[in-house]
Amino acid sequence: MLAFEFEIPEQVLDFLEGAKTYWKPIVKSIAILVIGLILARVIAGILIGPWRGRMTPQAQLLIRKGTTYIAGLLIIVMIMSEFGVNLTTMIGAAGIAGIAIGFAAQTSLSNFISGLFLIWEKPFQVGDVVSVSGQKGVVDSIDLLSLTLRTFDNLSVRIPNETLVKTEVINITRFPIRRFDILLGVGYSEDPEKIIEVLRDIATRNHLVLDEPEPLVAFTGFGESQLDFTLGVWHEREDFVALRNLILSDIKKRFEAEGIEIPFPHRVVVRKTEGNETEGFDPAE
Amino acid sequence: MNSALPPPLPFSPFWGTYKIPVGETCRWDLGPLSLWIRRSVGEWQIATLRSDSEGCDHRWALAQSDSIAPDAKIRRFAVESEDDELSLTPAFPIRSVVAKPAEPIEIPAAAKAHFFCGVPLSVKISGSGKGLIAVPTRKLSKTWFGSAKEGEACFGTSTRAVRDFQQLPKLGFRALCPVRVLNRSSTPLRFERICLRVRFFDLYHGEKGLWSNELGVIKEDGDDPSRIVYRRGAPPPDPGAALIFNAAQKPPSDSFVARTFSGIRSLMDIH
Repeated sequence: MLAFEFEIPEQVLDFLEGAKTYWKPIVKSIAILVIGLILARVIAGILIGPWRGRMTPQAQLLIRKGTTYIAGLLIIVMIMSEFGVNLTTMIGAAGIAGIAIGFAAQTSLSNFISGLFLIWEKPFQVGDVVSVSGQKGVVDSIDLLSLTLRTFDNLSVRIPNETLVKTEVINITRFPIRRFDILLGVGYSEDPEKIIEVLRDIATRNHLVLDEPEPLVAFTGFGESQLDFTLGVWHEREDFVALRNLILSDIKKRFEAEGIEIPFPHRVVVRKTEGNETEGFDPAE
Repeated sequence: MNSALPPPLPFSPFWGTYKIPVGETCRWDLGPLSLWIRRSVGEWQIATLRSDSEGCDHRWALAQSDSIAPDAKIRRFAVESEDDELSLTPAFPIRSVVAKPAEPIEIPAAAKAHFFCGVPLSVKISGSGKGLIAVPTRKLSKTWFGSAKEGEACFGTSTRAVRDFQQLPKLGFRALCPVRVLNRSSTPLRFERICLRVRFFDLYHGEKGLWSNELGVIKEDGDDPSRIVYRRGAPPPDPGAALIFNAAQKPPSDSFVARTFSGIRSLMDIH
């Protein structure tokens, strides 16, 4: 009869011993994790559900993330308790760690609190066009720490919430109609009344300009080499680009047709020649 | 082509159903709008060209055409069916219309008034049983009714606000809207413009032309806006008018408060 003898490695024995001790907490932890995450989603759904139509996407995001973070914390605590970790010691340690983390995460905390203010104040929403520190774009997402802006040349710009609270933010699409102001200069020889009449007519004929509120036409002053006028036309916010192209072109064509001079800066170049003789000429002529 | 035409309506002969066989083109001149419709294999081609002329509201013509004007805007509509029938029906514009009289009309305190406003119509074209497009017969200006913060995007039109029924012109491309105003307030009511929410209008075809149902405006004392009543049924000036279609939407109630009139704030404060 043949007999085989082999030795089981000590590590394997240790592992089997450990598994025998811990298999119950491991299975329980997995169950806590799965059930906890499902419950977190269900609770978030219950909290958002009745107000889904009236709640902004940012507020919904806040509730979802808040529920997930709180559930995550509870799940960790419960799992640790399953493995016999002393929670009193942990809470003490967490207090000390909290102070350390608080110092280290001041910026993130500031961004987080600023994010809460932004969600509360609602100065803009996802889809609005805003201008922040010279960056113009469509608000893609508002998160707890930052805002993501998609610029018109399709770049993604992340702006920390703290910056948004501290700096001037212009919401370009907040209102359904806007006024586009055009500053114009005409020659001193022109009749201001005629200019006002022509500008009013240009605005009336342009199909993108709103009849009401009425266009603003104003003689605003005497410039260095021109009479200054302002034409302010109201338009629907979606028409801005088309209107800008159209009305500027209308003004140029109409002024040319009416013989109205648009003065432009003239520059005299002085050319020095040998023998200190000077010669001046206007490059525009 | 003409042999296939249905008997024309007594007032607006151009509205109706037409047969356009494959390869043929028809041209309609409806006021300032020129419209070409061509039936090709598997598609309808609709071309439009609008004249800037203001004085051609009475003009209408229908003819067979060989070609579409080169500067016309063409749109193509793919259809599965080989059906060659096409219908042209009147439709209200897609937005509310703000009608503005050339000269404001003042309605004294505790007085009634009625007048008629014209609403330029669109031509709704349906082919092969499908709605294809609605083309406005007249290019309407854009306007805004309300404050700069909130209000309603509308089309703008001028109105003569004719007061005498006998003086009403016969216009096939406009629907007449009878407006009855009751100024119960103690201050004069100045009518500078009125917002006609055409989505609440039915359309009728009568002896004098196309009609909407009657609009009642009641102004009381105080800061409240005027009360608007969309009266159901044929308009009183043309009681025999036949219903063409029902309103796209029902008003919130038979009598509801809405900002409809706009006048001088200091006088009536119902802007």
